[in-house]
Amino acid sequence: MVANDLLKGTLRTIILKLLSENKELYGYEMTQKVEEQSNGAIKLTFGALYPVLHKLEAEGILKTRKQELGKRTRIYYTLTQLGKKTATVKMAEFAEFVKTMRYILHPAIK
Amino acid sequence: MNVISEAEIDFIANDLCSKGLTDQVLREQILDHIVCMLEQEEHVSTGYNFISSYQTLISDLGYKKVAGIQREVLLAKNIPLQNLTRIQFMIAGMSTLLLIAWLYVKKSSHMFGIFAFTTSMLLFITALVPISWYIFCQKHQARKLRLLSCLGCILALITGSGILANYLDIRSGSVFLQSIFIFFFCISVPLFLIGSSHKKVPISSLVYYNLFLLAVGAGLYHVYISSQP
Repeated sequence: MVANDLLKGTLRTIILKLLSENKELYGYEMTQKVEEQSNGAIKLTFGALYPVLHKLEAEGILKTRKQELGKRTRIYYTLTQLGKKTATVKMAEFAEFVKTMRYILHPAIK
Repeated sequence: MNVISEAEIDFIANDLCSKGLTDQVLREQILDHIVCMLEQEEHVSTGYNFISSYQTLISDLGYKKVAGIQREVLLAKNIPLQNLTRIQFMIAGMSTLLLIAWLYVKKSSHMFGIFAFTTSMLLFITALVPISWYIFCQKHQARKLRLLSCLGCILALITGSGILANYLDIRSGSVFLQSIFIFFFCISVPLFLIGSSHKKVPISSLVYYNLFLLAVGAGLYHVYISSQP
């Protein structure tokens, strides 16, 4: 399992990456995809996920679409144009960060 | 895959509501999330039981956690709310300081009249800020904050009207002056009721705010009475 403090800083990037690969996703679907792609190492809780989703929406990075499913409503998230650009930048930044961390953790590998 | 009935969905919605989840969008999202989790849950040997599955799933989602998630979402949705919270605390602090200052000045200085007038005016102006906040919160469906804003209105109005009544010397027996005091006090009640009458506001919040209001009102009344010569 990935520690919560590590996950907190990377959650935005994870969400942006997921949405750049999928046209639209809803909250539960995101948690499932993350768990599946990380082989169960990352388990997102709704307590961590939804505040970030709302923040990204407020920043104009994500937009939503509502779908009525009987007595419940499902909210789908999609990247906006700004979101697509942000996703590219964030993923590049994170890849660079991972590379740097690898150098720090394993100085012999260069 | 388990099938969750409409009655069970209603049950979850009501439970989330009772836990203080008043933000409609967030409640819809968490409701859908929980229903999805319940639908996907596997019960090979025991079979599916809604209540036990739901209780297990929700066991770590207490009031504090729900309030925390909701606060984060509200703040994420609307950054100015952070500033509004700060303003509300400033108003409360300022009102208290002015009240204390007024009590001190009243006993030790002949300038009481001017000071009391200034403070009462200031308090009435600050009362307008919670009212505008109330309108803002209503617009943004921030119901818990709307309750707080009502509380702010009431505190400011009670304090302000108390000071004004004392300044105008309510003890002179003037029916007109007494009417002013009662009028301002009465305005605060419907304001509170408007804020708290929303059907989705949990009962626990109402009880809490009513008790808090009662305690504050009693405290202010005590201060007012004890300040009389």
